[in-house]
Amino acid sequence: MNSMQRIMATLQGKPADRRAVSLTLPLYGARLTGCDLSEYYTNPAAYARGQSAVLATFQPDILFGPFSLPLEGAAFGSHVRFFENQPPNLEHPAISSVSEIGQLIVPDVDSHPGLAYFREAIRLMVSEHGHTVPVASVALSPIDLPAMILGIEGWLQTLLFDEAGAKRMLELTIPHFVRWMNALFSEGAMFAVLPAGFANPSIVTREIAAEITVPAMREALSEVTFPIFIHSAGSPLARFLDSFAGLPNVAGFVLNGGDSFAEAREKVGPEPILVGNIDGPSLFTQKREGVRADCLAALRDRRDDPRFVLGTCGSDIGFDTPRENIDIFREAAEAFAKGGSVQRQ
Amino acid sequence: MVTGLKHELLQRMLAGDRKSATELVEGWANVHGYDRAVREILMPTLELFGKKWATSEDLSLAQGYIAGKVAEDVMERATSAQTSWPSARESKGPVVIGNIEDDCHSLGRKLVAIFLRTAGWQVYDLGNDVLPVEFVGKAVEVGAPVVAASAMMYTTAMNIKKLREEIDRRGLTGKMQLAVGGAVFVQRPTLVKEVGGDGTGRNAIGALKLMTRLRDRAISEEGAR
Repeated sequence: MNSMQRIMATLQGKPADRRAVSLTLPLYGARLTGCDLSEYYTNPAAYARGQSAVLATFQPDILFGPFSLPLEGAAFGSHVRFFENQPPNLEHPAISSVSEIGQLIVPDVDSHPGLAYFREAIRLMVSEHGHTVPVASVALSPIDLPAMILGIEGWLQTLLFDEAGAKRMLELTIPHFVRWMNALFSEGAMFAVLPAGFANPSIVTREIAAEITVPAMREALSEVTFPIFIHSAGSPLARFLDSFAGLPNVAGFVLNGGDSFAEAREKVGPEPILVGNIDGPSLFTQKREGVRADCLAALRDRRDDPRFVLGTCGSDIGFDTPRENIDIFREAAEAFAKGGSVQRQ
Repeated sequence: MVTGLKHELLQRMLAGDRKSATELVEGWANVHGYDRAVREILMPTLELFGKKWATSEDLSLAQGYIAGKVAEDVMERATSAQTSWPSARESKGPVVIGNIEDDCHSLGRKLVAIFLRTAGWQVYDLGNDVLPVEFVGKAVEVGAPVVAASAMMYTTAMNIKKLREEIDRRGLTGKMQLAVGGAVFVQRPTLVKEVGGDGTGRNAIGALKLMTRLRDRAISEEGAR
């Protein structure tokens, strides 16, 4: 089986030759090609070269488009800063208060150069590898995009104390999100991975989730035409999955480190794919044997679950992570599929 | 009565009702003064909140933010009422805080600053992306026995090692304690030692006890020399 066949089988709940493996390696491609990050996160060809190197080196079953959510905020006028060893980050939000919303210029998904970077990177990756490996885009949900426009504190404050302002902001981000998803789909992305931090009751109150952000997600997702994976974004997700029940077009969830697969499965039912849940950013601090043990534990846990993908969670696998700590995911999945000594460990 | 008031204040904070929580403290302060209101009502309630925050899986970041806003509102009203807080008797001394070099995630740091000021600390908040020399230079200038560095990501947390080195290079080991904080330290407590931190708090309110403990340790180290 190739990666596309493996992922398709998992989506359909059918047997595969081994578990699919999802590794958050957008950043790591720059390390493999030695590309300066300010080039990597602005030049789609440089990004696509990095992902070709990722595929050649680690053979993950999914390739990801650029994973830099602040760059989406930059398309609205926020300022980002580039670093030597991590993705760009938000330096100054475009506006400091929702009262300044009238100053915002919503970027045209077909012509804005900052968004063209994402689209072109996806197009190049799909063109080169899309026949055998699914390419996924990583994007901001309409409820998290405001945090990249207003800043995290500004958006939290708006949700808490200015319901009308929050609704005004969502009236702007939901249509943009739908246009953006459809644009990425048109470039060949097979699905999108969305952090949904502001629908997570560990971030916002259950009331805000129930009354504002989850309904906004429902409205937005009902208009997209391809599968969505909800990402835990570094927050516990499994015990809050009831909050996400019934969202349309959701194909699966990327669980957080420490989340219980069994609890997640109980809450979402048999259909959605569960991905996870080994913390990617801290892999560089681990020993290879420790990572291997974690992989095998997850594989054993989900032995009888047809819709499971072994993978990393959190943000990018760090720049300084030893290659052997990344290789071990696929090796563990292969060994587990063959059974024998590894499976019994 | 005070116990009931604290319980009610806690409930209002948990319910996210910033306005009525602030008004509750304000009403009591109008009779007893803001000095006592902060010391006897607000701070003990924040400590209760902090314990709940650290142990309950159902408390959100948003509720912690609301607690911070209530504290900030009360302190603003105390200032308007021309109450000097902290009084000399209550002052806990200076502390320097900031997000470490390359880190721009300011929300947690701002909450820590609010809670520390409410508790009577003289807070020097250096903002985002602070270099080690700036942390140590300011702490030396104001005589702060503790510097507190915040980081959200592993990559930026590793920059705290440079702050540890700067403290040690200037011969301030022990006399200047290094508090570290941020989501990444909650996820991986062993990181505190890895970056050379002297301690961490589980959340923004947990920083209160941490700062007191580290300040006392710094004074003890200074006295032992």
